Amino acid sequence: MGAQVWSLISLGVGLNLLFGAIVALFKIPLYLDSFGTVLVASLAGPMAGAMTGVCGVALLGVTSPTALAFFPVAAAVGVLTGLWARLGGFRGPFASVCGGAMTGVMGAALAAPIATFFYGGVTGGGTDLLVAVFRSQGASALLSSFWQGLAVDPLDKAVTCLAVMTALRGLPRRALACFPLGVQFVDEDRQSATYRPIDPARLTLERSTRPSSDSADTYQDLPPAEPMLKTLVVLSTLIMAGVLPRDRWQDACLILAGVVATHLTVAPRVTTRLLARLALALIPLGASLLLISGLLASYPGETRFHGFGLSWSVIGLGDAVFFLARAGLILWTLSIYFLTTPLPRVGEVLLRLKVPYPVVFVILTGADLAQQLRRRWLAVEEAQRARGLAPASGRLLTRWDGFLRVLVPTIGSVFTELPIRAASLQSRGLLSARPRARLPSSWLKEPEPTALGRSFQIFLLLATWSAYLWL
Amino acid sequence: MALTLNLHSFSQQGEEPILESLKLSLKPGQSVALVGGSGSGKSSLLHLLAGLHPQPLGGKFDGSLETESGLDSIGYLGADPDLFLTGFCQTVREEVGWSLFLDGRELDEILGRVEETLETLDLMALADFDPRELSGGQRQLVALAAVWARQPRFLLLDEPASRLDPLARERLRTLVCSLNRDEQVGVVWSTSEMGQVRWCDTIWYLENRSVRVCPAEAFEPLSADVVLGWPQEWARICRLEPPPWTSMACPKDARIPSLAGPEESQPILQVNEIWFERAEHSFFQGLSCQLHRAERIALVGPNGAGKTTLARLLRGLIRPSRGEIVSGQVCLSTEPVWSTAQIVSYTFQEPTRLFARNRVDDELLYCGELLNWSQDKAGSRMEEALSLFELGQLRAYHPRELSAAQGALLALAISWMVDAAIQVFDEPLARLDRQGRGILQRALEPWSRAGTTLLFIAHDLDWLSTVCHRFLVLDRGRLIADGTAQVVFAEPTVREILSAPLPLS
Repeated sequence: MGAQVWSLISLGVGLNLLFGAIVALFKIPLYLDSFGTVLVASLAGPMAGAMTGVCGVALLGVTSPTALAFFPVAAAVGVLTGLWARLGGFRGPFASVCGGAMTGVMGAALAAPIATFFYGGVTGGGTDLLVAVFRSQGASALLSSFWQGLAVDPLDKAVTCLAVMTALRGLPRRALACFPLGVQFVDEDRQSATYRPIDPARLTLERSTRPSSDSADTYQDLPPAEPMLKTLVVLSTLIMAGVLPRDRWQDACLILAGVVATHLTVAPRVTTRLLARLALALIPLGASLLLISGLLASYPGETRFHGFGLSWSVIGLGDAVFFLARAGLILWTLSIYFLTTPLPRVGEVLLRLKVPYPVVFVILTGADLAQQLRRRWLAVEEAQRARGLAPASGRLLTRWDGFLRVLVPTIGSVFTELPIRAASLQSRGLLSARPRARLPSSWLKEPEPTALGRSFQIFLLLATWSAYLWL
Repeated sequence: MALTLNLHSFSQQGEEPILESLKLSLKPGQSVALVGGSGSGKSSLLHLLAGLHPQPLGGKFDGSLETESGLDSIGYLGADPDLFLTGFCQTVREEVGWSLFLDGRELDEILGRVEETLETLDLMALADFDPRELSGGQRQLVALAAVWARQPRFLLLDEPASRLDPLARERLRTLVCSLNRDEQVGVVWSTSEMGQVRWCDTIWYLENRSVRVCPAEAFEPLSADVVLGWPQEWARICRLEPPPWTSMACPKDARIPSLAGPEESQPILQVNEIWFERAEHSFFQGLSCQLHRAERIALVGPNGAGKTTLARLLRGLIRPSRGEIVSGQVCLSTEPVWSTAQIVSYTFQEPTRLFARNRVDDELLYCGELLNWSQDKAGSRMEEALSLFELGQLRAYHPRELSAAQGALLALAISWMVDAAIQVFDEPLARLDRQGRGILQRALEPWSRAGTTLLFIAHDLDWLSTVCHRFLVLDRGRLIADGTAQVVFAEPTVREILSAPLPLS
């Protein structure tokens, strides 16, 4: 694989990570989280697409481990759209939609057994509602998982492919020509200028005065955690995961205390604004937990869950609430743990575990590229606003159009830089690895704990252990 | 030990050849300035020398590249440090050491080499900082350190200073000079500014797909380059004259139309006591000023003075925390940004941000589309813009395939299309070559005739003093001077603040 394809895959992973957040901003009821996979597959073929999908899932797994089990689906999406692109399937809107829909059907067929085997059909997303509906009609767990996939995936993939095709059409010729499959999108006589004034009604529809710069601080990076805190996190995770089983309500209190402390230490500069934002973010989480636990409890008899070598059974509403809250907290603490470990260290460990270097490289750079892409997206959006493009509102199609009007220039601007990015990677020797030394530990410095954070940690460590021994 | 390029022809995919029949050789310890007009193939030549064609950059390369010490002995650095830094390393030390770690060096060697590199490049003070939090100039130095750590024998630098302010540019130049002199590294530095050329010992001058090699002392720009304005500038540089603005006794350029009439009394835009604070840092504390119709204003000040912040406030991209910005009946600081596009237009520092379409002419029509004009109006204004900014030849090009200078001209054409009452240009000169500056200068006339207020943010006081009526000098969020060039530059504090290093200091 050449340097071009490597940097393209990193970008694809970044796009995958980014899209969940951006689509939510435009209030479009889809995931579009395989956008990067499809884009890479359509330019560089099935293998590159599959790799984008798998690496994207690996990175996503840091914050939501449930996604990890679905890596074959992500790989399949990459392979299928890559093959479809080889057949020339991204040249027109109709063919793209067809390809997307077929990929969606195959994806659903692959995802159903995984969801049933690992998670009993319940993955913790909003689509669980559909599973419950099908099950209440008497379908088996496997079949209702499949029906649920069939109801959502083809549409999502078809729309993703359509968006990818639109983005490809806006790319400059020279950037396209760098890729194995890119030449087919080079439009020799580009059609002449088009003109379609915007419906004037749209401009006056909604005058929200949200300052554009505010959206920038919504996704602040977490500051790195402190070493002792991490010990605490591992301990509470063990308790929570049931490896050190205790009575559930006492556990719950411990866990709650641990979570509060985690939060106070991880965010040393806690402001009322931050707290208010967190509270707001927790409301939908709580509501969906309640909803899902209600659904779980309404299943007749006992529901069993398997995962990571452990199994749980749930009987009744109380069990269901506790199970879900525990799962949510585990994910949360684990994500804090991973997000605060220096990435070069993660890379070193992966290399020692004999993970192929291309994968390590993509994982290391993917997260940062998602950040860079987000900044680029905000910059393009701001420039388009300054040119007079009103924010999308109103009907779904209008919002979709508004989304594309920012998406296409963003992809274009990132792509124009891709050749030079690849060149710099190659010339810095970042495309091959034969490490012999360990990374010096003096480099990967953990930050100094604050006084408040340290006292909290000591208090909590003592409290956790004494409570554990006392119980 | 030399790096030798033997080239029959080189062309991009399906295009005319960019370079033909040349033979170049770079010796250790040699310093070369690579100059040529925009779009003449400077970057392509550097990529060829760095062994980046045909893989990964593609293109058709007929020729050979020879070096005895292997491709690893060539270090390449471009203008944008974001593309060179890994992005996941948390300190400058890690960033510099990461590629050594990947190369499979032993631990002692890595540690030693990193310290040595940071020492040589004078970056010890930054060693524990996060590269993602440094300024553009510092990041460029870190990128240079990361390239230098692998001990290249040749450094190929592609406009490495084009995005830096004068101070950072000088620092980078000094460092490269010392590497060249003390470590006997062969350096090629591509640039479009003659001021940078003086310190090199050889000049590679790109013209007509070929390269003219000559020692710096003997360099004579051809008469054909008069368009680019090089002979004049070269002569000034050779005479070591200071730029004209430093002695402001000379009379003003007569071409600037004088301001007169009743419009002057009625300001078109009023900035009333604005405050702006962000994250415990306050940029402005009660700043006020007024802009009048058809004025040409220069907003100058050192880096970090708040020039761009003020421009973004004027455009409404950010909101003042106190005070207001009013134009006529409209309060710009509360109206949504997109609804005031025809009152104030803002040209971003990076023009490519603005581009949204596939063709240059489509890009211009898109302005009319957003403002909901009739097709006739948009079409006729587009033709005007194309001819005014000399983009007619390029109308079918993809905006992102234009060269930096052409892209900057397209951004100017976009702001011409919008026909706003106030135009704010953020560093319009940074990407324009001589020819582009000429085009901009010619476009000022019709703009002023239409009564548009123009506000320039720029560092080039030479240029500004020939086009602007009025100077606003900003220093750390305070407006310290406001008036004509003669009045403003007569003040000692202003001269002190603006004394950016001369190109040859």
